[in-house]
Amino acid sequence: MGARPAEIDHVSVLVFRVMGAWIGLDTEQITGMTDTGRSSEDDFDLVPIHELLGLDARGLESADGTRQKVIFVKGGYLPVQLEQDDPAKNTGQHEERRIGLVINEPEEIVDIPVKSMRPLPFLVAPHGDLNGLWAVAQSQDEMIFMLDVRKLIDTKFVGVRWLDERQVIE
Amino acid sequence: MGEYDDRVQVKPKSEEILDAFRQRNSDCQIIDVEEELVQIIIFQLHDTLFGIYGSDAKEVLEVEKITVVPGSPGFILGIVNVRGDVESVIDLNRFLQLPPERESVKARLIIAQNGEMRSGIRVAAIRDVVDIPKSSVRPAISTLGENIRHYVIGETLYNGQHVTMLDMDRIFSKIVDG
Repeated sequence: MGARPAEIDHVSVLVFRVMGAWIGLDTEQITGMTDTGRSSEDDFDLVPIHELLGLDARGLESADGTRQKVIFVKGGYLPVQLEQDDPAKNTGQHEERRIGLVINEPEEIVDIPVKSMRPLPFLVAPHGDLNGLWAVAQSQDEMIFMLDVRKLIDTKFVGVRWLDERQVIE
Repeated sequence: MGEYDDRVQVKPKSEEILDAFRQRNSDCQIIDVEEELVQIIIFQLHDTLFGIYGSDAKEVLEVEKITVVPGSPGFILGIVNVRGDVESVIDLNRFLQLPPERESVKARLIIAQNGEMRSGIRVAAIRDVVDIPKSSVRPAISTLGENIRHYVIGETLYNGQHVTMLDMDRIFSKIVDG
């Protein structure tokens, strides 16, 4: 008999806030983070996370001074249609670009014990699942929604390609 | 008058009739005693009384902090922590397409359960928890609005007021099936 895989006893998550909700993103799904100001120079596609989660634009609280960051999702590439000057010459060609999720500046990285996590209740689990939310963890007075960002992106986009990348958090 | 034959113990007709009365009365008493009682939780949405069977409710709690779940429909207010368990919270007003309630300290959370399905439902106030004969829950009147009628199991009276009994099974099924 093969050895049983070691049980996971905690998950290291990047915690940030979107429209009042605390989101915890497994750091193993992230390869890096940068400021939004740098984004226009780079070859990645910016996706505001509040749009993916179906939240109002207030989700990114830039108006009240909250800084925003871009996080790179590990291995995720979006097919992006190449734009032609003349739409009639559009050949349908596309390139693949890294996915950069725009989020409010993260609060911290915390280790959340698996024993403090609970599955989403029966009635909300299907809605959570559509948004990659797979569990909830109680941390002090707040509940943190555990986000599987790969699942979220796969649900919202067609043709995403996932490559194996080395994990780097800048 | 004929001879009375005392070898045959014939019960006088009057006694037979009285026995029948006693038996009938006894049957009635047995029916009364055995009539099934059901517990109902009566609560208020605006000025209307609604009820659910006690068997559909696990407990009643004060409303504490509700955390909104991203992407969930409007009639789901969010989730709450109940002694380490996470429960969803339904906004019953919104689900039944009733106007929203004002925030009130009287608001309560009924943890409703039906089979495998369980959720909190937020109500404006709990009026009472009473035991009533099951037979006193009658079919609902047909004047109920379409938005409510589908989720009604019947109606009963409480202090002269109509109480619309809700069917938690239908409510949960609607939420699950969409």
